[in-house]
Amino acid sequence: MVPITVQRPDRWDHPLDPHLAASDVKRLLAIRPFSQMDPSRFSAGASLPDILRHDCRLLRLRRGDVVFREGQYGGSAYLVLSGQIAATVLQPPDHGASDQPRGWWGRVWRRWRRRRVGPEKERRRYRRDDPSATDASKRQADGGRAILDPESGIRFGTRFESEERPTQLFLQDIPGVINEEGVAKIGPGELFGELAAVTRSPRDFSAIALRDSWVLEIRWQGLRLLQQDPAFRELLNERYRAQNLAIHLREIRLFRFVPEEQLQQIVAATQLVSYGQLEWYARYRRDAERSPSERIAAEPLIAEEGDYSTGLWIVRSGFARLSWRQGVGHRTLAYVGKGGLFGLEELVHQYVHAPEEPPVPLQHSLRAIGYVDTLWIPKHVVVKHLLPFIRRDELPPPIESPRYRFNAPLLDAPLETGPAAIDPGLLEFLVDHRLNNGQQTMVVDLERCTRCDDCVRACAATHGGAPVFERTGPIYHQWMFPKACMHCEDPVCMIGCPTGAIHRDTRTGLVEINEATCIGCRTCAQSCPYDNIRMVPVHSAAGEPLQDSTTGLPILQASKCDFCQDRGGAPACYDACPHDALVRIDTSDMDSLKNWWHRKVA
Amino acid sequence: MTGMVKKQIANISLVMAIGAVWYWLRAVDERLGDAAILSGWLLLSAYVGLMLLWIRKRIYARRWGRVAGWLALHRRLGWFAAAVFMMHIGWPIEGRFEQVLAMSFLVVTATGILVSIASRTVPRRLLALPTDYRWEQIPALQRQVAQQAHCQAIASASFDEGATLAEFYHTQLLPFFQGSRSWLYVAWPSGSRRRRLVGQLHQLRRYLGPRGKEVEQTLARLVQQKDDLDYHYALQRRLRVAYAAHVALTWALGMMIAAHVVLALRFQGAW
Repeated sequence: MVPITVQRPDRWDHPLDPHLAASDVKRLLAIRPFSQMDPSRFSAGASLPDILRHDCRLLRLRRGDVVFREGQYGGSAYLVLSGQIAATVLQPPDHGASDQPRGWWGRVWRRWRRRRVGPEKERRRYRRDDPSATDASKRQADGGRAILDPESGIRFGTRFESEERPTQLFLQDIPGVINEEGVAKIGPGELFGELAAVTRSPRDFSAIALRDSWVLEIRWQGLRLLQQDPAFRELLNERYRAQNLAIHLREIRLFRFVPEEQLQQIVAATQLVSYGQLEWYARYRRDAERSPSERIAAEPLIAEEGDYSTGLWIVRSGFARLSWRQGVGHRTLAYVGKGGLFGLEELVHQYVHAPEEPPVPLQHSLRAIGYVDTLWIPKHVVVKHLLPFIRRDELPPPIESPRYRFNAPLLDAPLETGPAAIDPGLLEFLVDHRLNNGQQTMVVDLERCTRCDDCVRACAATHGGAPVFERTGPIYHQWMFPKACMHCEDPVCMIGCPTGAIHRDTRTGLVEINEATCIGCRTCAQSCPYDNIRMVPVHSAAGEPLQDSTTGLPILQASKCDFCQDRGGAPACYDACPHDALVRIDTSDMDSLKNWWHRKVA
Repeated sequence: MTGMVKKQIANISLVMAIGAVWYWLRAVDERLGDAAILSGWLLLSAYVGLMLLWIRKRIYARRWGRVAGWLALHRRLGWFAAAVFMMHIGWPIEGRFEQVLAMSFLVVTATGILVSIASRTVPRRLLALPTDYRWEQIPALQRQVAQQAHCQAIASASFDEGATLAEFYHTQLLPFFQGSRSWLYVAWPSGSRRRRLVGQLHQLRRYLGPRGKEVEQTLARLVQQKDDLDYHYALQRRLRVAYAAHVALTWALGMMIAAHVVLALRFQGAW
């Protein structure tokens, strides 16, 4: 077949807002914070006007328009140009238990109900796609009518714009849903939503226009480039401390009864500390040949067992390894993800359970797995402003027989950790292979798998003839972890993407590649520590291969597991396994991992 | 509901369905009805039901339930069909065509049971090996191991001990590394040849110098690796052959069933 010669796609072939004119960019450059940026900090190939022209979009919002919803994954920050935006946690009306069907009978009931009430209404109730997503095509199907969000019970409407502009979703009853007291108002010149964009995590709050407003959307790629300006970087850090830190702390269960005044004291004393490298995959690959104990010893140490407890650590993003010394090595006891606490047991033991006894040192070590952002609250602040407001039954129990005591010999660590614990070997394995990052980790039970490859065939059939995973990978006992995208908690593949082609689905959090904007730069494939992204040749609709007009080389695009989102429901590989050998589990969550382990093994 | 409870419910339902059919056919027979025609239609329906798994396995685009669920249904429907088959046939079976048809049905059932057993036992046996190999990569890996063994053996000829290892390689190991295993091994793979070769290699140690001993250890490791690859290949091939035979014979059986239905209806005077 004769190849078609085309020009290789470029990073800025698809600007975020094709309607953004040069005059708009000029106006933006005149306002803060862009007016205060130092243009010499930006490279000639990606100048400040270029970033604004290609990575930004002007949004015209009317009163009630929803910018984003709490829980959605977001890849953009927003700058208010005029008007006012409310940052709030939507309070859903009490509408009883979840409507999601459960079990076989639930599905039968749903099918029967769908027949009775009509598929249109039913689809809206159970569709996987969020009606508030900003994809206009999805929303067109709802015909502009009011939408009852099944999760929150809040009624939204759809407001159609022109063909090129995405349809806006608006809140129908602002006073009924938003309580004015619990709302942070964001005015002109203020930035919001940058934290979720930078950490690739779900939104902490919903953003709704309180008045007719103009907002500038800055996608993550642009935001990263803008951080080359030190003043802007400092502005982001300050903003986090001033506005997001309190929200962040309030989300942690133990902080929910802390009065506002005390919380502000905690915020003022909290230190933001990062460990490891953001692009940790390079070091991970380099260290792959080293022994496990060498690798652990090389991990950035956050806090070490035996040391005096100086405060409370909270993991803001990334993962940390909780371990203790065993023999001459280190034994992994758990991994701590976003929102996880470290050091609380020792403080509670000292100040609540046994105030008359001498303090106990830290009983475990905490090390950064790759890259970790932490919050550190000094001990005196914890004791004064946090401990008095934690319910007694939520406090950790006293440390019965501490291994470490000041001026006392070290006790040997027991090998047996109890029947409720996960196999320590599995934990070591998951962390060593960084599989603790996966939210949809593919696991194949080799005791059931007949190697028939029906899963691979199903994958190939649903992806144009080429499978997007390989049935090969690291094995622990009977469990194989094949080379399939795990839709990571912290998707490092997204860090370097220049066009934002690799992104999270706003609703499901699955990591997707937009074929229209992928320029085949290989950055994601090279940064994926698990080699789960492959570069594949691009073909025209008629099947002819595309090749670069300058070099004559084939045009490539990144390809990986998309969880068969177009198909709906479970992925094809899971459905196709005749022996129930293939499952998808969330290895990033210790509870989910424990459930799976005890169901399958114990 | 746990998986075990679901299985028990399915098994009880199967036994009850077989009992109900038996009772129904007996009642029809006692009323001087034609029970064979009824059981024949039931068998034909069961055959169509069994073929649904084959169809489901080829539908990827839409969701029609998990194949694992369809396979569980297929297995129980297979037992149901076997029970109805026993009720359907008279004894002795008269007519050459009917005898062949009955034999085909039994062979298809037997291969189905074989596939079912193998799909439970083969994964456990494969898991006992230190490495998991993909079926399509095994021939290339076998060639790679043979090449490594060849290089080691050739290099050892220049050592102080002379051609001891090279000669052993030429006479004993070369056919093992470069030849394919017999059909008997594919049917019943065993480690006897590996054990014999490794034992013979160890016996050569007394004639070898330090470098020769290193090569001997490497060759022993390669023998083990080649045997693992052969074992993997044999077990996977056995399962694939049994499955292919089951599917192919099912189609042949289908054609014979169609002919049998036509003949039965003609004899009955329906046409």
